[in-house]
Amino acid sequence: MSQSPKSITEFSPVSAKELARFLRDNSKGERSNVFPVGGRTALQFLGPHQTTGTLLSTHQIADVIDYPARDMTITVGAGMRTSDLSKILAEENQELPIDISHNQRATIGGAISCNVSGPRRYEQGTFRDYLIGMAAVDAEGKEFHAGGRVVKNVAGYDLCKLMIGSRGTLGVLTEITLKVKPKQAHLEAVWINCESFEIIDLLCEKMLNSATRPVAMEAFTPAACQFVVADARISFPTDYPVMLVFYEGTEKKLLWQIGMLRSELDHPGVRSIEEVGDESSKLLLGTLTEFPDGGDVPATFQANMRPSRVASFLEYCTSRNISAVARLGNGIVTGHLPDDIGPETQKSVLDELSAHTHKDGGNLILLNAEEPIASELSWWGRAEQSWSVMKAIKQSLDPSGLLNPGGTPFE
Amino acid sequence: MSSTTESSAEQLIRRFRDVVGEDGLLYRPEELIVYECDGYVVEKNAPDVVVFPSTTPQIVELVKICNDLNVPFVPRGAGTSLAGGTLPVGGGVMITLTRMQEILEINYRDRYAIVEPGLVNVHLTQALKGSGYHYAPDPSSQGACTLGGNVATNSGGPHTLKYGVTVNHVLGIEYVSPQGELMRLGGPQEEMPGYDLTGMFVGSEGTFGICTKIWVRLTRDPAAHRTLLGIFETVKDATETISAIIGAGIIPAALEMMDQGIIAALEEAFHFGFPLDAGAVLLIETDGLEVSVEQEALDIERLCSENGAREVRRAGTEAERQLLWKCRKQAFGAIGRLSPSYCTQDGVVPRTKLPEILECITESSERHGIRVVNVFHAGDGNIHPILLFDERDPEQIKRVMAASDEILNRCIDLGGSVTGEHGIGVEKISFMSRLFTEDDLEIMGRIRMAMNPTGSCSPSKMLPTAGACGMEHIERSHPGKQAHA
Repeated sequence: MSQSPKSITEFSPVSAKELARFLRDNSKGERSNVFPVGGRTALQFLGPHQTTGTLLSTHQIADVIDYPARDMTITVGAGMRTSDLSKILAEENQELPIDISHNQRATIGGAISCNVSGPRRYEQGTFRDYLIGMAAVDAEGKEFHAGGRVVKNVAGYDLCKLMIGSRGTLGVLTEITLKVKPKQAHLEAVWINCESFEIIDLLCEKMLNSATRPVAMEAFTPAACQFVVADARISFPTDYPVMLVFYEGTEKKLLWQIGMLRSELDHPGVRSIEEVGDESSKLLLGTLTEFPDGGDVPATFQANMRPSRVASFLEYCTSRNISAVARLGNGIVTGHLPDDIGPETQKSVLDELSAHTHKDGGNLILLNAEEPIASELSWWGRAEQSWSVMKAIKQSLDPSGLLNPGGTPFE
Repeated sequence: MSSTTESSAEQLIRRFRDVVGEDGLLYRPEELIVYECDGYVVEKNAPDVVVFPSTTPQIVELVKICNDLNVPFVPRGAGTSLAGGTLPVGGGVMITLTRMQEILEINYRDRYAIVEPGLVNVHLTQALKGSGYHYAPDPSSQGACTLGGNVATNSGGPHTLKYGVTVNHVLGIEYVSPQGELMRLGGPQEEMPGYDLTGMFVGSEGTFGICTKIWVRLTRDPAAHRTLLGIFETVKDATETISAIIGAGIIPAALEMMDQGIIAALEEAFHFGFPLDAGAVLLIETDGLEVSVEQEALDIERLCSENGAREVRRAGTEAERQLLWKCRKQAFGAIGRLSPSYCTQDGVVPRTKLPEILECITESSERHGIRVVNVFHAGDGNIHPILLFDERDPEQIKRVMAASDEILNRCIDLGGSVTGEHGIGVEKISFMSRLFTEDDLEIMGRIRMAMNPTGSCSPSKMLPTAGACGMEHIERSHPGKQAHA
């Protein structure tokens, strides 16, 4: 696993002004590397091999700035914990329907910088669909903002989109405005045991024309299934490939959809269809949201592909005893390599997985890795043509490369 | 020609002819008149040459020629921009994309389509009809506007209240950079490493390059609709109903408002049976599963009644629903019955501030003696006051500009923006320094420099500065608002 910078000073400003002053002084003086952090839940995304610099934490910039609940927008300091944000929104029966891991520690600014999302992205989308305004500070201490506090706004370049997933390499987020939604009353998951991944693929095709509207569709390899069942403290069959479908809404809506789903998925290759129950469904959603944090594993990857390629990818993962969870509707698979294979095998497995995704224009990136993989393999996968454009953007906003150096694919 | 010498102009046309042939070129003054403005008729300036490529390699060649000869160029789709987004400021070359209108792929399994930029928005909808899928952004001009233009302005439409605007439905873009390089951002895979340049490209108003291919997300058709028409005595009652509906946690698929002035024009055009004495009507559509949509419609009817609706009608048949939407989407076409010219504004306010901004519109209308009618995306707080005038009367143009400025400044004061979906173009450049600080604009300028280093692509758009280095010679030949100030 990559380490957080060593010998590092830490600074936690209490305001955007103080943060800007720090960056301004740094750019004119010491010019040390700066690593923006929020809840420190994604330190592996800091540039690898960095040993000096300053961890710049936004966690004290965490006030509610504006919450006109009837406009369904909220503006907060970027350092607000996402669990606090959820509580504030819940008081008005609203929510930001993005599943964020380490909810108690993660900050909203950090989650945006890492473009965190979870199972419900299938129906509810990602930060691209909710971030409508932001303020940030560039490497030289210049404060800037983009977007606004209204739900529709096309004035100026959409720097919000640029900042999402930029991992603190372009600027440090200080203020966030989000569009929010009414909170859904209930969540229900349906556990579907299938004969094979081929059947899961078939069910996915059926779901494309389902009369129901799931908010999430997931599938696991057997290794992941055992972990999921244990972590969510539920008792369901794990011997065969599993597909999991989530619904949200009123009880009436859920009942109708689950009934419909049962009839739509009536197929000899389906071994069982079982409802998980409201409380267990929430636990299950939490487990799947936290899944990318695999703990002590040699490497965790994220493979991006077209949804139609996911089932065969999971089949390959199963053959290699990889613990993998797939967002079936989004074409995203997160997997942990098993710890009982040697480094050379680990590398060759990752090469094979990468080749699998590259066939159709996808990509495989490392989310976390121990040595020797950490230093011997590319974290970002195959180079893309667009990286040259990204590099030009990075140079335009951080010409000296002070912000999270090494945190971009093109460096 | 205004920006090229005679010899370089001849060279430009000769080289363009080699790329697209004679039938792909317009350069005689009488041919260029059509291209002197888009849907924003207040400012006009003809390009020196209009060129119609039909392939991506042709666009690459055309851009390289423009660069060789140091001529600015601007892409254009159907020219429906309402902010002068395709105005060829300072002349130069207009690259019109309407011959690139193919649907290259529809992939239902992976829920995307690949289209060329000149495809008319509604043609994609028609191609998807019956499949159970649609392309969600539906601007009112969808019968004419192109998807490339939608990408440039990040277009919205009535149903974006629930489904989002263009950027929420674009997965990837292929474009020719201002330097003439063919680039690709994103694609059918949802996540790729690095910055979301696709997201930033959408809404960049043609200043980052010329879009040649678009990967769009396909959205499931809703299983059921309920389309309601709430009839109110006053605009105030209607706007309070909007707040009540959203405040109750109901997000309809669309929530549109039309005031008395536009209702009269629509009734004359379409004979729907709109009540001519109503102060305002709300067109509300809720969609989703049949099992839940009826309850939502009942809740909306109740909220309308509680907030003073004198009647709430339902579209009883699909034909009736379609007619209601036809009335709404062709409202701008009906305006010809009211005046020879009109200017549509595009402000946004927080939804709860709609009563204040509508009051401001009424006051401005009275103060400047300019009739204003309203038809707009109320659920988003996105107003479209339509200022009626006669463009042959310079005095009226001055008053239209003054009233427009007042309304948009008030939008800013209320915490909103000067554009929700039309873009800045040339029309609203002067507002950028009110919306943004010098530092904000400087950062945006740096981004433009990174994407468009010579400033040759769509110069003098969006940011209140010259294009960039080397483009200082480009001046707006019709400075519009400033000229009338």
